[in-house]
Amino acid sequence: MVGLIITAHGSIAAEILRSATSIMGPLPQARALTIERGADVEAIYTQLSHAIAEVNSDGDGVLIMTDMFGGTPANISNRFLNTPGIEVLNGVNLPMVLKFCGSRDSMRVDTLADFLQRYGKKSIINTRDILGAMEG
Amino acid sequence: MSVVLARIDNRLIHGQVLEAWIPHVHADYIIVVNDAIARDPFRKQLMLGCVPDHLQVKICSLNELPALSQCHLERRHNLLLLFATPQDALSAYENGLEFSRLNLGNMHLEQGKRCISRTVAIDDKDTQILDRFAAMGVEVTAQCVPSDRIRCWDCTCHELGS
Repeated sequence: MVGLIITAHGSIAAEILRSATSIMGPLPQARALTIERGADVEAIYTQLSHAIAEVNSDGDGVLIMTDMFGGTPANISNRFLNTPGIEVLNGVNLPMVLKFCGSRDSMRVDTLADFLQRYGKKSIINTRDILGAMEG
Repeated sequence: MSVVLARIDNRLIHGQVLEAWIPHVHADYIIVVNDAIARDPFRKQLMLGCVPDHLQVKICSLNELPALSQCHLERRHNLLLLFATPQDALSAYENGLEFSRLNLGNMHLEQGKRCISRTVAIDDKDTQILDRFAAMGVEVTAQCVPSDRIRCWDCTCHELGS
């Protein structure tokens, strides 16, 4: 089972995980890591490395989802990319996390990252486009 | 050259810089002066990858600064300078990378340091360096993001004034 870490500015990581749990039920091997303004980057790096070890207990790899490419949560996560079995997806959204829950047992972590990247992008929808398609 | 922002931020290039400061000061060229990242190809590549294509960026060690000044800094750019520590900022300044204002952004709390704002913690060595900047006529201010109130370094009480 691929492990999951969601890391973001402020409390949204924990809240996305909470929302996912309320929809999909308990999520094993998943952790949220909140990065507060002013936090020590090297301390967060250590916390993240512990979290990775924790959610990777069965060695199937870890997908880290961050809120924004270029932000501190992403910058710290990216430093783990030279470790085998770690993938980083930036721009987390709830549909992506929900889809993760249903796919983590059946895909390798790198395939899962590719799949969820496409899925997450596809889940950003302007409702007017849907209305337009229905009318057209 | 025109330095539109010289900032001490131990996160270097990150969200606050990319999304808030760069548009605010209209910077078009980022210079990161940091020995550790300049010498680590992996971290350097990651940091360069964070910067949108329309901005120029250079990550250099303190030793590379003099060469950089000659190659790039004569041209017309709005420079944003980033340092992880006051010591790096001072070394760069003494190497000819001059600026009239120094912004204190993120200087995290660690053992032996005291907080002077929500995001800035300093020790005695930092205090001496900030005093030295002030004595050289550099205006030292703390402002984490542009919407924060600007607070000025006060050399008499070593705190941030209003």
